[in-house]
Amino acid sequence: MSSDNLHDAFALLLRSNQGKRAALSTVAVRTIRRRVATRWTGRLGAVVAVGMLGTAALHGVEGGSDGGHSATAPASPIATPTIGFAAATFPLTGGPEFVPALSELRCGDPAPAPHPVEHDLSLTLRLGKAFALGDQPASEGPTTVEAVVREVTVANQGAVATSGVDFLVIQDGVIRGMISGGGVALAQNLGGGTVTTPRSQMLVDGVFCSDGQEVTPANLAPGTYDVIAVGRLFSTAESVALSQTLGDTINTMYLNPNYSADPATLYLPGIYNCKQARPWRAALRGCLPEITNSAVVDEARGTVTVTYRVKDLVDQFSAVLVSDPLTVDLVASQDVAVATSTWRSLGSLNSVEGFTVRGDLAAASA
Amino acid sequence: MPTRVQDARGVLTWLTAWARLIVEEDAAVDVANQAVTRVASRRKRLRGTDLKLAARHEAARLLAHGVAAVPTGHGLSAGAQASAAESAIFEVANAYAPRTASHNHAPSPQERDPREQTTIGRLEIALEKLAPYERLACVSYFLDGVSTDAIGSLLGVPRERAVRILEGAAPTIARAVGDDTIPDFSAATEEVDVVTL
Repeated sequence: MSSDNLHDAFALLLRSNQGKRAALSTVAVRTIRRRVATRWTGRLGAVVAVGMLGTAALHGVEGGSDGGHSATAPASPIATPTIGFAAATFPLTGGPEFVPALSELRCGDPAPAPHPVEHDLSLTLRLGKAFALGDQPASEGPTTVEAVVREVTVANQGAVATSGVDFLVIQDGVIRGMISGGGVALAQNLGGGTVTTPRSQMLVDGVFCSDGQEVTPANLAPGTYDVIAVGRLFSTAESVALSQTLGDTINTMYLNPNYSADPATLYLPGIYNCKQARPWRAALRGCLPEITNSAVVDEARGTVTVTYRVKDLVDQFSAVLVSDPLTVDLVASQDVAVATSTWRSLGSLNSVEGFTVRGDLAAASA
Repeated sequence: MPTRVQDARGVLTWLTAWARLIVEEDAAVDVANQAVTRVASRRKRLRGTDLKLAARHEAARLLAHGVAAVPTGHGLSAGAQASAAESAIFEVANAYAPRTASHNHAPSPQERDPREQTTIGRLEIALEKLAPYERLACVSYFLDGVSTDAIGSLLGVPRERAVRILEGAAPTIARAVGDDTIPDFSAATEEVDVVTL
């Protein structure tokens, strides 16, 4: 096999090239020192912010029956500074990372090129097990597909969030339709494990087209298509702060800036709407002060500031990954008796379980 | 305890040597400096092999988005690339062919590139005949153990294009090191990301 010979030749050339020492430029030295120093300054600033926020929250609690509405301007300095915390300030409407990658695509567009690996994470597709109902053999159900996110190195990624991993149905290099996968998931501490989206059934009835506003059926004929997964993975101060504050069991649908619980309604702490939203456990950024004392809303600026533990923010990044295609048969639900009964019984399978944490990852997360 | 700057200095010579496989000296120094600066000043401090791996990923990314970007529009077609590669093979192979008296234009021993005497010299000559993105693809595949899929991602091209790039470039360097077996780049491969010191 020539790969070995070529590897050895390249390795020899690499060693030969190392005979010439390289010096780190002055600009590089200064940049590294400045960035590290800036981060330490930021941490110290965060300590101050934590104290200020604590004070502000305390004022809010003491401020009367309408609670957090008073939690605005902190008047006194640090109460009890805490090392290891920082403050994340983000728009009430959410950062751009929370918009699913799917929303930038349209039926009829060329299929995005595969981009399955970035920032030490990979996105792949695999055929899932068919759903089983009672004693029905699972093999009789329609094909299911699930997207798998894996770490490709052992480097700790911290808490990785996704604005949703969805599926595209491709024919002749063109997007013919879309299938919803998992929605927003906040805290996926990969820890060397893998994370999968919910299994999505490959039924033509569930394939849709969206222009970002309207959703219409794709009206595809049953047949063989290529399917790819597309999703944004990221780790930002906002995602880490939200994951630590909200946990990963809450209804995260409204963290997507494209959705609004009620566009005509204001969601701010102390306001009736936030109290109304509690029973359905919707994550609404404007209502965060109802959940934690460490959150403060700035109505004038349209932002919310939340403290978070910095240990889960290892390296800020945002990457859109596109899996390699998988060829699957899409069938009509009426053609699959077992599938139809399963489908009706389970309802909308695409939003049943959120991300599923597997194996050792589950233990690590626990 | 070493500082971040010392960490960066520790990998710079190795990373510059790696980048010199793909681009000329000045660009290699520049890219290596940029890459180690970014990696060494990340929030999470990396050491040893992790630092080298991350720095090489960063350097490869910088190259793929800069001097080693795959040309679009005005670039050579796949066929033209293959033809160019075949020409390069011929030139490289011709350089080692036994000379006869009828070779009136054969260079004298004084005119021949002294690097032809060694394997790494011939590899250097072969690499010079390739475009930077082809060198990046070959170094990633043969030296770093990066899969064809990941090379496609790195270069921002579909897998099929990555396969064609490798298929076009590999014969040139394979012949230079005296091997005429070309791997099947289109076959699915296990990702084995390695750091060669």
